[in-house]
Amino acid sequence: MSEVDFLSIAELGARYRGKALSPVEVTRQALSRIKALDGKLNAFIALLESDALAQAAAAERELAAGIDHGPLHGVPVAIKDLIAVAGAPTTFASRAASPQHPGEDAALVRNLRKAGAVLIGKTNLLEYAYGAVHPDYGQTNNPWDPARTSGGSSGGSAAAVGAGLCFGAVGTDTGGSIRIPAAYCGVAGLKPSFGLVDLEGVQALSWSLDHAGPLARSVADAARLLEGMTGRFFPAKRHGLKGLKIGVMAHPGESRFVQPAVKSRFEAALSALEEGGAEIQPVSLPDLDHAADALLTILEPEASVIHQRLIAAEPGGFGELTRLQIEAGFALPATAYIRAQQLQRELARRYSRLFATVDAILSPSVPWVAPAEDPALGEDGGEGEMLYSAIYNLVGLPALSVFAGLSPERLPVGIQIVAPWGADDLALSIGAALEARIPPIAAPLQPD
Amino acid sequence: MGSKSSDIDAETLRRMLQAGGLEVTAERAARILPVVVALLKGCDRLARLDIEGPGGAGITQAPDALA
Repeated sequence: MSEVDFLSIAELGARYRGKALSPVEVTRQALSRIKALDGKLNAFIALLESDALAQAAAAERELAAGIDHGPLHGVPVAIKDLIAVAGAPTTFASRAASPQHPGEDAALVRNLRKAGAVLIGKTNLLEYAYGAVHPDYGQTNNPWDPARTSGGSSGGSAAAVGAGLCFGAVGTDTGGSIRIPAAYCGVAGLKPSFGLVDLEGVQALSWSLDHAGPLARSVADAARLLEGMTGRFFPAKRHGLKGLKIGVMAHPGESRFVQPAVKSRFEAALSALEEGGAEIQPVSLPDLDHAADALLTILEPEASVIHQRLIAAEPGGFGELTRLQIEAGFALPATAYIRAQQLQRELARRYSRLFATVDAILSPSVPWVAPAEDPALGEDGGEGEMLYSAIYNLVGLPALSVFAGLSPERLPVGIQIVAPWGADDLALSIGAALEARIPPIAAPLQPD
Repeated sequence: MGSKSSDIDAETLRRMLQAGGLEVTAERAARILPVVVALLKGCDRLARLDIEGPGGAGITQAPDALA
């Protein structure tokens, strides 16, 4: 491990500007570490080696000429492989309509380029972000224990960041696909407010539920990445903890799923926030136990319409589990879809009222630490994995998973911080405060 | 079809899929059936809720209007 691999984005930038490091040198080191470690992780589908080195060289020339694009200038980042990067193949981790060769960048990629980021590679995912590994692409393994999954669907992005293969990555989240792998891999992952990040050029799974967001080793790094993706400013330390009212949401059924280690780390996080001056109070809302039903009843038919032509033309290009989900969505009645939307709007209304009494809401990110494999969507394990995350795709609120310590078997536990719609900076700020009290730890993965 | 939407057999499912825009064989419908039954059980649970508010565009409308 080089001491460069786990630097923060701010520290990397300071060393660039102090001429102690150069973007080309750091990009070469990242590529070298990927080649040394990705055999264990399977985090990358494609490396963009020559383009990344050319971008790094350009970033270096610009800095030397006094042109500075800001915190992401010359910083190697990775992109989930369902997001268009001009000149690079997009596989969606599928054999259906894959690979594609987009001529234009996705909007968020355009913004990252403007911010000076170096696009180092395309990361592995569950096929079309739809809850199952395609056997030709395989599972992305966890940098804390390669015998376990990194989670999904943005598992490649989370593992790459957690293993020190890049300094940030972009994921997408339709039911927890940023926050679940962030929790499993011990990194920060933000599902922003619905609509904050432009999804042009991002392969859709569900128009009503899709979000794109950052994964990084710290909340501050995630904030810088979000700024790069949106062109907006997200200070991660705007709000103090003193006097902040934090609600602890009761989720029906959680006692069936939550592991003792997760409960213990969650309570430690609450204590840390309390010591910082936050007021903790229990909160609850009716019908949260129906969030997963509503999510699937909206997601499935939308995904089926999105993939309608492809499932008719190339059904064998999909892995069997993804194919079954796409096919099943055609059978759901429109009345059920509308009922799910009714519940979606009612829950959004209830959350809006709840935020008149608390500033933010906390829960674990996932009820357990990383398992050996991802549980299948629609099964009991799938419901448990999305217990805390799916509801926030339904109601569109910003939700951040941050590292909250290790379980006794030394696997990361994640805590989810939820803020009112549009208050992404508040979620980041509370996350940064928690991180100051429970600092992130570098994953132990090393080359053989 | 039975009293609940999830009480279906493979042939009923094949016709439902056809109405939804997907042509599959009876054999394929039988493979899809368990996934659909699980989803329809969720639909049945939603149908039992007493939610009177609007459906439609949901959260894609301005969140301020939801308060």
